[in-house]
Amino acid sequence: MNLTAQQIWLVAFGTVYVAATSFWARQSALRDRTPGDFFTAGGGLPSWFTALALSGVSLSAWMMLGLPAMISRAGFPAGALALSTVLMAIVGVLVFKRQWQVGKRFGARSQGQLFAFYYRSRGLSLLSSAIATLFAVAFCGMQLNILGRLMAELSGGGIATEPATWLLALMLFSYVIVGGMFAVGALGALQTFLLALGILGMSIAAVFLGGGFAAINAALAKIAQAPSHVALFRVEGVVRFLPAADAANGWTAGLILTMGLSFAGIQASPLAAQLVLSTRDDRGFAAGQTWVLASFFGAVCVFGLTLVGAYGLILDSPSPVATLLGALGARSPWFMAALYMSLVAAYQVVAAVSLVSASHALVRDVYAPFFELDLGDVGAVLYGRIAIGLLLLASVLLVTRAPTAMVELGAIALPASAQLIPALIGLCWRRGITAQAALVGAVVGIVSVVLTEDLGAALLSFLGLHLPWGRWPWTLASAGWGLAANVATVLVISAITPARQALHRADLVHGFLDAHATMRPSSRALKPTVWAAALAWIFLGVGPGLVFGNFALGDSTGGFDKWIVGMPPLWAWCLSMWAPGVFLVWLLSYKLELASPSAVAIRAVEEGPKARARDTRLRTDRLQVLLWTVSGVGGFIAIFAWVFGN
Amino acid sequence: MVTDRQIERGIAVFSNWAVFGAAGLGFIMDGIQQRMVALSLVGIAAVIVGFVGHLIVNSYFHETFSRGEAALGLATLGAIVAIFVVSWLTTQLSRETVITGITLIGGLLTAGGAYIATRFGLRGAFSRFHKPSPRGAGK
Repeated sequence: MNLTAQQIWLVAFGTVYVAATSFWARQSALRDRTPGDFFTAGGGLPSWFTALALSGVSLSAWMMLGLPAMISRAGFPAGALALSTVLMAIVGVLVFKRQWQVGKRFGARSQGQLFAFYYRSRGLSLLSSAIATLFAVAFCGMQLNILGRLMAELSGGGIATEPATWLLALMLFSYVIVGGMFAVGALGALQTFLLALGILGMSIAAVFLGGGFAAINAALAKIAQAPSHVALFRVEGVVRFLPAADAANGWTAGLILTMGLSFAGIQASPLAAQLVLSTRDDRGFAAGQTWVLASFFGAVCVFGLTLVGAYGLILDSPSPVATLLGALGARSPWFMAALYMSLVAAYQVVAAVSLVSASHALVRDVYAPFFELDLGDVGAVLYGRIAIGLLLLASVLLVTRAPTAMVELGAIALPASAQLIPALIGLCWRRGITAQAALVGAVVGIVSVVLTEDLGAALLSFLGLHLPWGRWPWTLASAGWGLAANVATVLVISAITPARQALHRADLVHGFLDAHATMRPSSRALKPTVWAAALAWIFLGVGPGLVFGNFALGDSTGGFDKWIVGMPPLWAWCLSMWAPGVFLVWLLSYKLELASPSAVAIRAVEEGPKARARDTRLRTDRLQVLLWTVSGVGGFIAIFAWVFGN
Repeated sequence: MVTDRQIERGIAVFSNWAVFGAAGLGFIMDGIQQRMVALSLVGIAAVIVGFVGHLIVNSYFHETFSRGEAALGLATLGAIVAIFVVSWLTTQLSRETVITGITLIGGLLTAGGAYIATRFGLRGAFSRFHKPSPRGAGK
């Protein structure tokens, strides 16, 4: 059998990569002190691992593959989504340090445990577990799907899509199951380096294959002059009152803002919380969010990934990364293979964290409290490893057997996760948000998300019902609809339900946070200015002010000579917004001390989110109730669909 | 039992070489294949940046090269020199390949020599080779 150069390099890089992940997984397993370290690294993850891995999780292969593809299809308005790195960093700055402080003080090791402790609400804990599972199965499945197809394509059919998908899943499974959270964090740092290398490499390759930066812009200028392509170079107003965004023939600022909020949802997800709560100290949050995510990755996304998207736009390619790698494979197979492995690393960083978070949540926050209260560490790790295997199996089966359902489910993971932002704001900042408000708000938000996505239309159609709108009505993405409904619900319910039961916990937690949030007087004076600047940046960078980008730095459709900085004005606008965005995140992180390290050491207290053991036997009666409930609900839906459905 | 610090340093070193080493190797190979000295020089620069990055990691963790790292580095250098000399003597290497090979070997020797000289001093650097190190030193 004659192997092509592409196949040889893919196998070579793949082998080195698997050897490295296996080695570090083994090393991590050797350092585990107790079986419980498997899920949380014993709270000993070095801060720089977390700082890097959080950025890797925030971007993942989703951004590397998705942003260029969106730019190639929708033009430079979609390029403004590169600035969502700054929006993500703002959300991270707001919630990471305080989640870590509360977790450290009260012994919470997952987002579900934080919610269960603070709100005294199992409902929010279950919701958090469900979202972690959604990420592990569907969101990561979408990336696995693309990477499997890409491997088949790049190897020239040497490896078929389905075996490639299984192979990628096996590579992930082998190190997660051995090394647990410490390996996931350590390799997450390494994978984030590879992700950065991948984005830089793709940008250089796009310039090289596109004939140089000036040639790419000259080609873009020609495209911009065609009347049918105007929408690719300008934002089409703030919002358009159409039943679905697809009918708008162009992106609005409202769509960009709400999609940015959706992207920022990853920072509120149980995945990010799992990394944060597994961290040894809080030294990495400010640096990670400011310098790694907003600064470095912001720059490479706004410039580099947009360049890859522009390359795809010129070639009219729906998947520019695949096109670029294909072209690169013929000239420089090693480079193509290295870039492909960086995509695999970018997928694995989020998939590994998702798997550990979801298995931890399912075992510790769902199974143990309801069915086996005295589940020990050894049993929990065993069940956790089984859960990781089952989650990955479900993901691969969805990818290979039901790709449409997988895409519909995966598409709601980020906007659904964004619905946890109000609950986290309650935990970290606003004691007035009650448990009922946070839970009902999040549920209403997620229902709104589902109803404004393809999934809602598909589910209702299955039951014989039809929605009068399509995907993203009024050119607002589902995260925007969800958050609007969520925040309104939270405000109303918080106003009408005085927090009685949870008051003690809220006072305890916020008293502790206030005591540790000592701000210098000079910083206190800056507070109103910085928040005003934050609102101004959101308005101009990812909000309605983006319409200024249509004309502020040249005439979008006037040709190359009318582009003041020699590139599409909207792209130049986004680049000019990146630096103030980084400055803003720096102000929030360091000057307002929202993410900078605490000056005071935090001591753990006894009163934590550990369940009080009443009946420690295995609750087979509850398992039976669960089985009958699931069967009953399933049967009811089947009958309903049979009678009324399509 | 492996300590957290050992894993931290190991990951930092590995990340450094995964980025700069892989890029360096690829650029050097592409430079030789396409007969472009500029590409090869980018690759050599990446390898030297990787070496400097390794020194920075060592400095951060207050450690020097482990025996395994030193052995791997010297073995790699020896292999590069051997392959280059044998190829030069037995085949007709292109001008670009010769320049690349000499620059790479010269660059690595200079970087390594500069490190040893600044780390141990000129006299101490020589002593590293002709005197056996005390037990446990250099770990």
